[in-house]
Amino acid sequence: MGVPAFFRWLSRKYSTIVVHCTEERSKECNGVRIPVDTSKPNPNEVEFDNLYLDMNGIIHPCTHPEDKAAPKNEDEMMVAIFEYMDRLFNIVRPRRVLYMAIDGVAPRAKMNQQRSRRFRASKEGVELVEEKSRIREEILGRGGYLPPVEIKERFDSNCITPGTEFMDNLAKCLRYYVADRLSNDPGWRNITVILSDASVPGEGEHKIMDYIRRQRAQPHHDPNTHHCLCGADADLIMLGLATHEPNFTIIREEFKPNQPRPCAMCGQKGHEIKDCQGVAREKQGEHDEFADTMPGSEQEFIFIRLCVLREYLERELTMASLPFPFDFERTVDDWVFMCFFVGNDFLPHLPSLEIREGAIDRLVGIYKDVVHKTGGYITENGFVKLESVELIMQAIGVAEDNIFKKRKEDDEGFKRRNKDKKKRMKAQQQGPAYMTAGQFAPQALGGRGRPGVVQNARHQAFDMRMQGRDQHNKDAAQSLKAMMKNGGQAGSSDGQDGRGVKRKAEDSDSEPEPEDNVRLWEDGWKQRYYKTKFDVDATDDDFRKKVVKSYVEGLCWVLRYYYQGCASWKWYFPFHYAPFASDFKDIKGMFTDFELGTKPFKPLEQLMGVFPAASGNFLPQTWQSLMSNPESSIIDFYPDDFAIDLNGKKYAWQGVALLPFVDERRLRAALAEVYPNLSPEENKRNSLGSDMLFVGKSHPCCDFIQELYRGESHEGTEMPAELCHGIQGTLNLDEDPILPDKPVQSPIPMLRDIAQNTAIGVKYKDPQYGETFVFKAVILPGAKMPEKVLKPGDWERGNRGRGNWRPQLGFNSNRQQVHLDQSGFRALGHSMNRQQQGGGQYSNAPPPGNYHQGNYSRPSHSGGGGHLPPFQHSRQQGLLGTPPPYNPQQQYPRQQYGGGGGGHGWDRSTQRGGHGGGQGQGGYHQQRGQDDRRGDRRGDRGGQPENTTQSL
Amino acid sequence: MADRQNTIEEEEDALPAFHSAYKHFCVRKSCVLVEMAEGDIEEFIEQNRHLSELVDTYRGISESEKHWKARRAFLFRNINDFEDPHIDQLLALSMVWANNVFLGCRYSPDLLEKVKEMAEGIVVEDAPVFKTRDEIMKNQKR
Repeated sequence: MGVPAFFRWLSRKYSTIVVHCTEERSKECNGVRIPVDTSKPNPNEVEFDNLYLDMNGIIHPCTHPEDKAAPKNEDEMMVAIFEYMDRLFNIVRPRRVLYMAIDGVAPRAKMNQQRSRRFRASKEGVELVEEKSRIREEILGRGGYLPPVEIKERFDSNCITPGTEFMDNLAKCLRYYVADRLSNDPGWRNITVILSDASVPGEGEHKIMDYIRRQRAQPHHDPNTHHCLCGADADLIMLGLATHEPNFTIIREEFKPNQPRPCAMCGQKGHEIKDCQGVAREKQGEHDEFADTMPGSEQEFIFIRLCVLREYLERELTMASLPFPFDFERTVDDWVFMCFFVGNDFLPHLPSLEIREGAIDRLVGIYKDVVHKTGGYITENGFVKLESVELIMQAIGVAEDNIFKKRKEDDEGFKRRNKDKKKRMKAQQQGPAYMTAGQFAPQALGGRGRPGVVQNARHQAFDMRMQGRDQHNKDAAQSLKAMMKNGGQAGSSDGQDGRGVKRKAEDSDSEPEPEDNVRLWEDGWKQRYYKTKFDVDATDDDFRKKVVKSYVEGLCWVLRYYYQGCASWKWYFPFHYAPFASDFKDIKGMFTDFELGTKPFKPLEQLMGVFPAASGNFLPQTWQSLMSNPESSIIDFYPDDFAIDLNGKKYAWQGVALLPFVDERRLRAALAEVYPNLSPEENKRNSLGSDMLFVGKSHPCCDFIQELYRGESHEGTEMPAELCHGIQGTLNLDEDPILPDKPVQSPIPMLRDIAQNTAIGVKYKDPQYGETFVFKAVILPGAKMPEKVLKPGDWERGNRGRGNWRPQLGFNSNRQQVHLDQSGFRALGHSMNRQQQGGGQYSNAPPPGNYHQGNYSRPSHSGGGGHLPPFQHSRQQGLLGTPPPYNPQQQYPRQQYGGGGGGHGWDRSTQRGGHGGGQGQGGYHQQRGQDDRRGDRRGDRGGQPENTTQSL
Repeated sequence: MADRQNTIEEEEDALPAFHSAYKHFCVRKSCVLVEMAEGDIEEFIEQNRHLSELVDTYRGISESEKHWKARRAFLFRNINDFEDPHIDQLLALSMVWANNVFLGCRYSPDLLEKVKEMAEGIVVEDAPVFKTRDEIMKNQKR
């Protein structure tokens, strides 16, 4: 979903959903890399069954990375992709299925977004090359020196679209990769690999969803499969929730906002190309090679635990006193639906809903009202109840006026703060220490200012000297102050010395404001909006209804897409803007159903639909000329330049690209004439392909598939469910299969052929259901819900007696945590005491009641039974459990509950309660996590209040 | 409608922005959108029922009345030069012209020249103004 803000918002609001990945690195010994054995238990203390890779999220950063040098050629790109996948495999370590999905031809609804991305990307690429050569020339023209550019063909990222040679090649490389790993990597031994390449229609993540949905609907599916989906798009979260699988985790690269990008000219960070001064980098510290990339500062991965998000949502969405039983699963679906209002790939978002302005919280508030009022949920299995949607929209509509006004205020406040910040930054900004400042500062040769005549040089030199000395002598905080002061001085001296300079600095501060004709914060906004955005009068009710109707269809389409799969390959939203929430009136009858039996485009057809003429080189000659020949009957699809409506935003890439929509009939008619010109190779690329399934030799399915090839059966064969963890589907023979003992040629020169291949591949098809089949959005019978992670709501209010909750890091509540032994505590106490008391090195005698004493003198507290040996290494006691001297208040209430317990609330003997008394200490601690937890989930809080001490 | 106008004038002080927008709208409404007098077109449609029905099938679903009227005039004007198998080419050219006028798209100069010729005589009142991507980028660079 094109809403980067969504994930930020979600992870801030529900921070516990994020878990950092533990990644085992491969070691190097005498220059030989020892690969990680991924058949070992997962270091994240959780075992995943299935790993799904939304490959486009991998292909893009590997082929044209934003934060490092681009790979030199296609081979290097493929290797980068392999390495990335190995990394993910090592972190997740799936035990059953690895599903790789590359985007195939997308539904028409997505085409407009793809089109606008590709038209922009093409222009951006050309611009960058132009700007680079312009600045080069300018610098060279002024007598500067630049090292010669290495000749590198510009990688047109537009080739990452189904139907291109690049994608075809990628599919081949991935087959090789899978065969290699299945043959050689022990972690892959029992894995079933499914590869859905670009020749299979559908967006990657939706192909994955389709797979999960279709598996869930068949009786052999294991309802406790633990899924892990890789990808950065926020809509994966929605998709994961929409499956209603209890164990669903998303893995993605850690989100780091505002990462500096390297300058396109010199490759250094910290400035843009237009400010490039061409200076050499300053050596930083002794180990300069680490200055930019700290060891281990590689992009890290995080898990997003949807079961925790579900816990949060349950808390937030639970409604009391409903006239019907509350069903959490249904409210999840409704929540997902409402998130679409805020943004998705298929519809422009409503102008009044901005995620940053708390739109979702507002929606949830309204939603609860509506559910009470209408006595029902707003969606079911991906079908929308439009009456309820209308109520929600009307409620937003009422607030619209105020939302726009408030937005304006916030916006201005933000700009003001930003400006101040910029000023501060400017005062601090510095180049390398050897660089001269002030009038002597080097000027970018490509820049517009020419250095003026140096005035009062001696004074300036003095300033610079003082500045340098100040900085070296002061620590961080002081130097900050000093810099600000110096900045101020420099400014004032500028004013005296170089007259022209100061004005220029001010100019660059005030950025040109994009003009906004709509002015949503002023009365009459609706008229202005419709006039400027749609070029119609606000009184044109028919037109407005048309927009609203399309939007309503869109909401139905999108939800259906997430819950049932693509309802119509043809449907799309034919406008560039959304209507207002208040325009949604009488929408009930606006949508009935989608046309059945629509077919996706063929890959090359879709290329014609999404590429600008400048990327025509990916198409056959005669097809290309349809994009550029003035006589062509579809020439209107390919403008050279197009308008961008900044729509209140600052940069061109944030605005709305006003591209014409493609007329499908005309496109097909035009292509019918050039279809005969396709070469056999192109025809193959243009045809719809099939998913592939691969297994290694030791997989139980391997013999079965081999038998199929031996029998040369040309009919589809159902997969035997018992061989493959209950996975179902139809197998068909591949024309050019990967077979055991048949060497696999490497498509990449730098990688070896697989001489001893043991993998086998076969065509695979998801289980099929009738066109009117409805996939149920419910938790499957037999599914065990994962343990709760969040702090019980009433925990704080002294109600600690009932649950032994403690904060959980990672997946496993029982995870083995490191602990200090006695000598460790001594060392800790030693240094802590020194810090606290500042005494001599022998003054480490612990004061009475000091916390670590509590740990070791515990036996003396346990008065009652006296049969307890010391808790030597009890981690829960030592670090999480609060020792008695520190919370006297806690003891007393517990004593009251405790009733028949021992004399002291923290007496261990009473805590053991019903558990067998014969167990040793170690046994007690291991068991505790499971038994007690289960006990308190069953809700028998009365009997064993003693559990608490550990969790306090 | 008249009532509405009165109330609006009464509220002039209260709602200056709305009022000016409304006035703007009233003025524009009285304009003839397409110079080729509406009457002529009506007559043309009357005489060529069959043709006009055919042409109406080419209306895009996102086209407003105003945009469609202009494009329809374009089609009527040139339809005689494009017989049946070439009708798609005429449609393409009409879209090139409409995209240029109503959406701000740029095409190659020759092509634009050509469609402007074909559209001679069709005057669009109050056509929207756009900034193309190239123009924005140029501004941001400077």
